[in-house]
Amino acid sequence: MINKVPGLRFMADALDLQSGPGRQHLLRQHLLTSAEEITYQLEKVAQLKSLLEDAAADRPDGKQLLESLKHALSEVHDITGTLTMLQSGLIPDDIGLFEIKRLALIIDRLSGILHTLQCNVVDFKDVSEIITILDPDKQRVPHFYIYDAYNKELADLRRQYDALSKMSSTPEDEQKAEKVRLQCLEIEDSVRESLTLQLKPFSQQLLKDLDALADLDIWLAKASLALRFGLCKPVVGHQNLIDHNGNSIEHRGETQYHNLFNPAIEDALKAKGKKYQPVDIMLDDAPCLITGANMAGKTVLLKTVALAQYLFQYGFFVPAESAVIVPVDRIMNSMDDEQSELQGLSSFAAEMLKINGIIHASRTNTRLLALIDEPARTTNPQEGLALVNALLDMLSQQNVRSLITTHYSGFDTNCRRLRVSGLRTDEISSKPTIETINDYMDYSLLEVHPAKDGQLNEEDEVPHEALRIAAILEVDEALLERAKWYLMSSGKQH
Amino acid sequence: MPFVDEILKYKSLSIVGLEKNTGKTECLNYVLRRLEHSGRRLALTSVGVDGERTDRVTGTAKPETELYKSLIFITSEKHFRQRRISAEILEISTRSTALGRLVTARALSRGKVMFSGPADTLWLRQLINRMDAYNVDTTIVDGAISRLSHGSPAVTDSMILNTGAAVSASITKLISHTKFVYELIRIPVFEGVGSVGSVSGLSGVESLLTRESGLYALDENGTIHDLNIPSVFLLKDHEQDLFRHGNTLYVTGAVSDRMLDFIRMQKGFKNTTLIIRDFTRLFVKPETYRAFISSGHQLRVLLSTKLLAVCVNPVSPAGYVLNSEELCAGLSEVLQIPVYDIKKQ
Repeated sequence: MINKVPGLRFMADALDLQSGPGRQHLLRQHLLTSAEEITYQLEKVAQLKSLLEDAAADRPDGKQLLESLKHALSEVHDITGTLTMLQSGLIPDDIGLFEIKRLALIIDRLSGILHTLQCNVVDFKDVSEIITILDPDKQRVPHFYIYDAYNKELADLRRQYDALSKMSSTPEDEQKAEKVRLQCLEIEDSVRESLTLQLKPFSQQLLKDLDALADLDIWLAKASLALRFGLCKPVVGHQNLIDHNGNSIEHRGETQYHNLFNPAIEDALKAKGKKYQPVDIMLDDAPCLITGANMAGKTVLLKTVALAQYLFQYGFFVPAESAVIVPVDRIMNSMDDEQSELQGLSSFAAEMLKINGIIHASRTNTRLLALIDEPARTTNPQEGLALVNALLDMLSQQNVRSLITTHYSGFDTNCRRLRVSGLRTDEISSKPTIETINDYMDYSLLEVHPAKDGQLNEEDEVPHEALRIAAILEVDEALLERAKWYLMSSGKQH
Repeated sequence: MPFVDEILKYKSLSIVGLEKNTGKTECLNYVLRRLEHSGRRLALTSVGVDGERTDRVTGTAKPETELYKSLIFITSEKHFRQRRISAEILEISTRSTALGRLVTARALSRGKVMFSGPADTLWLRQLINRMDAYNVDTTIVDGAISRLSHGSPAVTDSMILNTGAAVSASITKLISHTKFVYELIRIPVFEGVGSVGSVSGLSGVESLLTRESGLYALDENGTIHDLNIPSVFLLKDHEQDLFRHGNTLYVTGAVSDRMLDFIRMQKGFKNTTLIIRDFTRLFVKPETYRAFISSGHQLRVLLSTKLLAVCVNPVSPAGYVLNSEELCAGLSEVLQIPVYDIKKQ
């Protein structure tokens, strides 16, 4: 999944997880679809984000406490195996008991830190009893062996063994020592058995704590990520209508982003000393058509909307200044990728199959977000336009929340339309080049309203900036001149 | 044996055998027995898998490593579970070897353990450094079969070399082979040329050590020039470039027979100083090495290891026994250092 969504890998890699269990939990995470679940997750991230922001300011040792919190998390081993073994009554060996003691001590330390920070984001059960069982000498260090304190006889036998094995050993002594050693082993086994009995009632609790540790690790990493990239906590927009069978039948409500940006691209631009222009966009439960010049960022916009939706439904903050997002059951894309060529499909065939998937899904009872980049662009314009018209009709009928970009003009449907502002005509002082074209591009979106007769104004038609952009890209002049000549003469024919 | 006290001067020691059955484990047991009452804290680990009760290759009896109380040791989970010693677990690694994670433990009685350790030298180095947390004075690394690499000064500071009848049934051959390895270990440290160009605050040697690949030349001012030859194995295509900046050369990687022969045959360049990181980078035959040296060239290392002693095992796994006194005397004479028969001690 993570590799299929553009930009998600970037965010996942940037996630600074400390513990093994945290990493495993992240890999197992599925797309959250219920508003309650998402709200819960986001609330936890928000709690830790404010902890990260305030701890250092609120108390002099705040920074240090946060560091030791992370350090404690980094020490957690995944001991699910040992704990399930314990749960089923099997006797762990010394390594297993060591791991249990170590985990209990880490939990104890973490609870202490969280308590000092007055943070109740996770609730660890009291582990002091476990520690008492495994630390009879009360040393509070994460070391373990079958302590002498467990059994008086064991202590005596060990002393005997030491005395016997110290002497320059005669065969007789060796025999005696071996006998004592075997006696020790027997007692050690019985101690392990009794420890297992004492610890068994705690196995469930420790398994839960291990999950809680993984959660804490992930929330903390998500909170750091939010601070690093300036992500915001989205508001969950949920207006599910539930039918009498308890199925959600419709999802009303608007998804709205204010100053949406793409973190990976912003990072890359920043490295070049450039700025990313964030955009505002709203999606309701209907298709929305986006037009705009080449290089106007339509594809990036689609990818960013997809990324934000995934991040939201994986419980991350999203790359925007503010956002209201409606959860969906499935996010479906039709965007260019290299996979189709590997499968031996033409770009048109691959695209049609993806669109077919979206149409089929739209007929089922699932809440969809469909993001379709320039459908039917690789076929002839007449049939292409017809296909896109049909697609828009179908998506409208099924109330599919969707974004469709296109260069075609002359649509018959009445769906919502947005246009990327495109090249700024007013303030071009010097000639834009391929390096500076970003500076002359206005990526903001304008709502396009058809006039009363349903016809679009001329300026709201699909912008004709292909030749201008090609010129900026320093495409051969003779070619462009010739293209212009064709354009003129076709205009005359009409 | 006086060298035992020497060990305590170093933070780490590797015990290296020229062959299997050269008495490495006996040497280790001897060292441990002698250090038990030294009042110093020791830790023990090994490289790769070792410590089987019988030798897997030859089937001969093999002494186990006998640990004393309070010794810290590192072995794999698998071998820890098979231990015949009571021990307190101190920590368990996150990374795993073929035999499971590594367990660090403290011996609570006398007893025996099989040893297995980290698979790579970097991890070994990290483990040795980690021993500071337990106030360990010296960490002893029990080496793997005929592998010198962990004897590298980049890993341990000092070493004991074990040789014996397993190397060769002929005393003459055994002495000659041991002498060759001894010569390599004793290659002198590079002292620098001219003012030894200090690059960005580092001394010339430190600056050379930071370079991880390629070939370099040092001119008479001590300035380091990258010869832009990616590897000695590509020397063929860059022969004309080798002496562009004089005849003091530093090779980051391995040095083979071919390289030594090539330099020796360039009659126009005498007195070449060839610098390598340490002796473990040298993969050459004795003949090639001696021909190189006797034609007036020299080899230098950036890091050297302290060889504390040479120990011999006169018994071969095939059953024949060499004359111990003759062997020790012969080796001492050639090496000019004391040589010990480990079985007699």
